[in-house]
Amino acid sequence: MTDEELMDDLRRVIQAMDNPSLPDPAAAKSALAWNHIDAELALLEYDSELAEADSGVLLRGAETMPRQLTFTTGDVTIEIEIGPSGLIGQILPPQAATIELHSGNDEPRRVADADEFGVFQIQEFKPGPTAVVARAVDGSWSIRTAWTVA
Amino acid sequence: MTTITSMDVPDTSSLVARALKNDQDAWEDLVDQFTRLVWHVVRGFHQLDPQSQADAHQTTWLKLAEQLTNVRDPERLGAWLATTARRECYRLLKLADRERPEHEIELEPSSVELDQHMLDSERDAQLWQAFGELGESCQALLRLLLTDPPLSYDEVADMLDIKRGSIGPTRRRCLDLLKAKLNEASRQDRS
Repeated sequence: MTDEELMDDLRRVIQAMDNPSLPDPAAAKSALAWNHIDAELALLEYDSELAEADSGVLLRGAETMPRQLTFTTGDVTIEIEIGPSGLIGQILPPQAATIELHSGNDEPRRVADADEFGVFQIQEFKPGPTAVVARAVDGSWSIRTAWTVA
Repeated sequence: MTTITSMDVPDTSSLVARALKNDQDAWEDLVDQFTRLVWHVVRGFHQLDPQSQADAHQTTWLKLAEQLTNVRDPERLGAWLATTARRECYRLLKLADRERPEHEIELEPSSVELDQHMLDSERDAQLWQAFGELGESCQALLRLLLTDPPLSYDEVADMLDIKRGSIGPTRRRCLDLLKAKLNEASRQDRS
């Protein structure tokens, strides 16, 4: 790459980056605090959206199916379905837990309890960045799901 | 008389190390340093509505905070953020598609276009990060040499309070530093 080519690339990148209409940085700056949660991270293992994308096949009628997500720490798994009636979750192995919802914007709040079968439902649910924190009622574990845009 | 040095602005590695210890100031410096980059990638997805673009931007930062302990190579943080932002945007495009009635489903961008977008955004990310790691004097000189309309060497010399004759050699030295940083980043990329 010649100096002139490098200067041309640099001009283009500087012009693009100097765009003054940046988003409000407050949300990004608060992101560190959102992750000071005392809970083990459960990684995204399956996302029905990405499964479709990866297979390269557009499943007809798939747009009416709830979106399915699976998060796991290895020991504990949370399966989540997001559909028109809100968010339905299943903790595996089944057990009772309290459920908090994090949006990255509002204070996290306890929104539901998982019953003894590990099932919970959140009806008031806003689209946007989302993480679910589940804490075993017996205090044996706390986990949080990786962030995803629901 | 301003001398051009390769003294680094607070480098990304030390900011990441401090953020890992919950240093909010370091985290905010990282956000300030890279927000333009993340936003540049997100804005490239014109098909997303403004709310989705804001969600993708914020989620990229939430994911960085979440994954901070796993950042093995802070010098490539820009490329990591660009890749994460692009993946979030792609995922949101898929979500938007399924929420539209079927007859409005748009053809997805071809994989060639997606690959090109990825290459551009990651190359831009590395260039922007490398530029940000140059000393302030180098950054100031290169910026002044890239203004539109261009400034004369006499004007640049006046504004930086340096000798006109030193602009050419200094420009070359700054570009050499920039190339070295880019080479280093792509070497780490391959390893």
